[in-house]
Amino acid sequence: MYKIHSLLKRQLKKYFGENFTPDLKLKDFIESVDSAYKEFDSDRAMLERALELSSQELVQANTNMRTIFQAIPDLLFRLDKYGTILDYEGSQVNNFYFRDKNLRGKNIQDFSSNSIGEKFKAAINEVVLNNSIKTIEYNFEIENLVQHYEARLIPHNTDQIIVMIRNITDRKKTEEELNKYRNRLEEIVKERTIQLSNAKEQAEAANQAKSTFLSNMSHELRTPLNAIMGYTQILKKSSNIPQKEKEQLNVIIDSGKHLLSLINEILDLSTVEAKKEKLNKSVFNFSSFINEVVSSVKIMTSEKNLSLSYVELTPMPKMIVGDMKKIKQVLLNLLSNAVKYTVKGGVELRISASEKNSIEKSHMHTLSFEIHDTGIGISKDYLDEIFEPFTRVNNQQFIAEGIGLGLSISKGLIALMGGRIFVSSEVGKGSVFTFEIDIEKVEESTSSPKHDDEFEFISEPINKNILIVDDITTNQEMLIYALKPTGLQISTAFNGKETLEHLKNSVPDLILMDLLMPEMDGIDAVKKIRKDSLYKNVKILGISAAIADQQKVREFSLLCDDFISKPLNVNLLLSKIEKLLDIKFTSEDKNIASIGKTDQTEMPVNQSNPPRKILDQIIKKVNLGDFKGINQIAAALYTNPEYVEFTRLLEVMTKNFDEEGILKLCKE
Amino acid sequence: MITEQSKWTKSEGWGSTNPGSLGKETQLVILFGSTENIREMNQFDFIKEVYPNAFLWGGSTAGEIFQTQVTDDSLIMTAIKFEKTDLKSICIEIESMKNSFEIGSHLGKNIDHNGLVHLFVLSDGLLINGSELVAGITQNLPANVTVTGGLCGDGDKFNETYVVCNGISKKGVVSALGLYGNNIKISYGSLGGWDPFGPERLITKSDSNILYEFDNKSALELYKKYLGDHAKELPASGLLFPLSIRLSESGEGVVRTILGIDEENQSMIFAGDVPEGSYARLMKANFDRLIDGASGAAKACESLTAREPDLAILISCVGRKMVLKQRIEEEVEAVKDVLGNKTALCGFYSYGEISPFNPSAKCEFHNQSMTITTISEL
Repeated sequence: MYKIHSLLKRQLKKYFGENFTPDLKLKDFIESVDSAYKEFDSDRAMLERALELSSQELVQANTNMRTIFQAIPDLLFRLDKYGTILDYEGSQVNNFYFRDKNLRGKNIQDFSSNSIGEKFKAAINEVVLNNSIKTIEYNFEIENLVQHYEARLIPHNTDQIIVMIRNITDRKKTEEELNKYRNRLEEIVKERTIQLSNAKEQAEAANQAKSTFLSNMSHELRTPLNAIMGYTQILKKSSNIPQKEKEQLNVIIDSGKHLLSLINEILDLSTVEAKKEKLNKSVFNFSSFINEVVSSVKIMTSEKNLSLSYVELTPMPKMIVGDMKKIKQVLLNLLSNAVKYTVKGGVELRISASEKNSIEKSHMHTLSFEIHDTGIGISKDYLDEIFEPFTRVNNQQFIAEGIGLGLSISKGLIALMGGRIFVSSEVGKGSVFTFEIDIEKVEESTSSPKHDDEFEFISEPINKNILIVDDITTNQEMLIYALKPTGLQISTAFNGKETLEHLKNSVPDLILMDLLMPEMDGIDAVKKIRKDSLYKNVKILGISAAIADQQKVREFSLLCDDFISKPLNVNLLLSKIEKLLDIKFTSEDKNIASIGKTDQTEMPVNQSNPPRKILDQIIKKVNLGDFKGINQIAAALYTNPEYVEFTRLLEVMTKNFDEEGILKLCKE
Repeated sequence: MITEQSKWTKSEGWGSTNPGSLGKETQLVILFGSTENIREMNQFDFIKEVYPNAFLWGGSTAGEIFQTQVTDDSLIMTAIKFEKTDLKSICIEIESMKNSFEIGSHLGKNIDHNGLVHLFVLSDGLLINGSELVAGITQNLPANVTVTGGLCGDGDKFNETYVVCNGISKKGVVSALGLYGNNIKISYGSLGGWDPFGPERLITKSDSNILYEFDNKSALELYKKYLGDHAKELPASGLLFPLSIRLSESGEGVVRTILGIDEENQSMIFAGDVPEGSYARLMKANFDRLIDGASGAAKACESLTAREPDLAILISCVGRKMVLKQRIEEEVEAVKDVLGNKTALCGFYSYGEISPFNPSAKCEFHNQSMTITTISEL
């Protein structure tokens, strides 16, 4: 049944009476109005419902938000663009922000110091201007405790800001602790580094000390050996010695030579190891060099009935530039080793040369030397060790000469020349030692300088007086023996006092003055001589063994015109005398003189300048006028035999306050 | 350009306006009618007889607009004789394409671009994603070509919709009519009139135009809760609460209307995209603003044209009709008040509208709006 809208029904009843019957057209109209009434009701009901539901949803959302705010340990503020607090949320009741009961309407900048307030102001402006998130950090003291805060400002709507303030004191503490740990770790690392570097320095110093000790030791050993060897040879020359004793003397000489070679090996190794060895390059004729080496080995092979062959695998350069002495030392060492460990068969030396390919090394040749033998060979287990010092092929059958330093020295010398050495071997069949070095090419036209012993001497009569001062007769006699062939007039004295006496009667051209003597030593004697103008033309050549007190040696060497150390290298002695007296000995003189010479008894250590660092220190001291300081440096330098020459010059100049001279010396 | 209009109803037949005076000179007849009248094509032969050279084009509706009258179950016809304008049309079956974007692309590419001024689009109202269709069309057209149109309707039944193309009604098709020449003048405007209310909701689950969840809760459940007793009238009753979608923090909102529901999947099908991550609010009608909206759309049109246009095609959302009910004609009258008496009005209540918001904006797909396209020949 059709049910008319209640309001319309009431209206119809009110205006038309209860029993109103509309005509057809009016009925249609009433139906239309009725439907509109109902539609409005329906719409209204739905909208009311929507409003209610929507309100419920918003209430729920609000409640959720509130709970979330409470769950967050941060303070939340909603600010307007001027920083005024519109509302806030936060669970931290003890927070200082809540000491003020009524926060709304206050400005966020007013809760802390001016500087923090300014920070907030700047951040708020930035957030409003750029519509971007901004974070600031700040701290202040609350009840004597520093509290750190982080505020995060987030743009909200168009002109509002949400601020989250978080107490980050704990986080800061952790960061600080981490920083502390990190710094501590860095310190520990630094300490350790220093310790390590100290340890390294100590080790280097110890090594240096070892080298110095070894070279000093070998000096000390050589000084008496010098006398033994020299005297034995003099004795042997003597005509009234029976044949049997002469043979015994030969044994002494041979043993002496052996002992000397052992000492020399130790000295060589110590200089190589201490990296004091320097390259001494010269141009020389390669084929005559090789012939010399081969012929000296030939003696050894023929003694053992071994074959010796020499093969050039490629055309070899005529002239080369290199440290001839060191190449020779290595070659002789390897070849004599080959002979030493070979019983049957022979030794072969194969040599080849190849050009360097790279452009920057196009002026270089690589020389390759192979030493083949048919000896006992080396087992694989030892191949790695043989270049280590004091290692020898472990075979009781071959208790060979030497103390096993040859290969170590060779390896060191080859490394010094920028080359390399390697070995292959088969036990019972033999070994091949190969070493390669790079040498510079020389134009064919370049002629080689003459060998040391090929110097031409100008024969000239010598009319010079020489006074030998030494308290030990054997030493005196050694010198007399060595110098006699030169035709120099020789007289002797036993100490400084005697020397002064001698001078009163006759003034020599040159005095060979020993340092350590009884009654009056070399220093006092020279000082006295130098005081007397009568003797101003007398040259003095100081002589001392390196065993003496370094301080004294230094002082002595400065007083003398020149200085030579024991054991004496006769050639060096002669050349110094030549220089001091401005004369020339004939080569004959030299040959005769070399009787007293023992092998390789030159200045034991090559002379060089101290490192740049020390030179710079000296320059600095010169500029400050600190000559006392320079003397201290010089005293320290004397401990290193390598710098003796340099130090001598330095001291002379310091004594004379020769600033220019020192600067020139250090800058050269 | 000369137009003549006529309306057919079952009870009254072709009305007082006598069709046929333009006769053979008519190039285009636009037809809007109820699903039954369009589907059955009973009156088409008569129309073809009266206008033997005309191209018959139109679709089914959720209400026909004839002058200032809004009717259901009628067939309205607007015959047009253009003086200097050419027409070309294209029709494509939805099933032949992979998706709505491809359909749009195909239309945009294949309609002749040479001299093209405006493209009027009518689409099946249920089988298409309007946003994708519009994107496909506009991306493949020259920038100066304007596009308007709408999705055909099926009353409040949401069951089947038809497009009339070259005198034949078809389901599941999209058709475009191109207007060519230098003398055709088109203007357009579109406005809504709905207010969002209640909390903003995050779309947490959706797939293109299918919505599953707001804030991780069923969207369909929410709609049912709000509709109460009217929930049983879904999807039609869903039109009472369209969605306002905000794609980004500051983005302008678009309105999306419900085309269908899927109880099995607990999902709702919208006429356009409802992307995940965007924010949505329910909207409710505001009577005054709906009518103001229609008038605003007309004013936007008017601002584009110097004189009163010859014809205005109104495409208004079925949702408005459901809300305005007996007052629906007020929005048409509001349009007429703006455009003036010389302009012939025709149109329909649709399941979706295609138009730029204003002359400077790009063409978009709308819901719940009144969209007006005016046509004049200079």
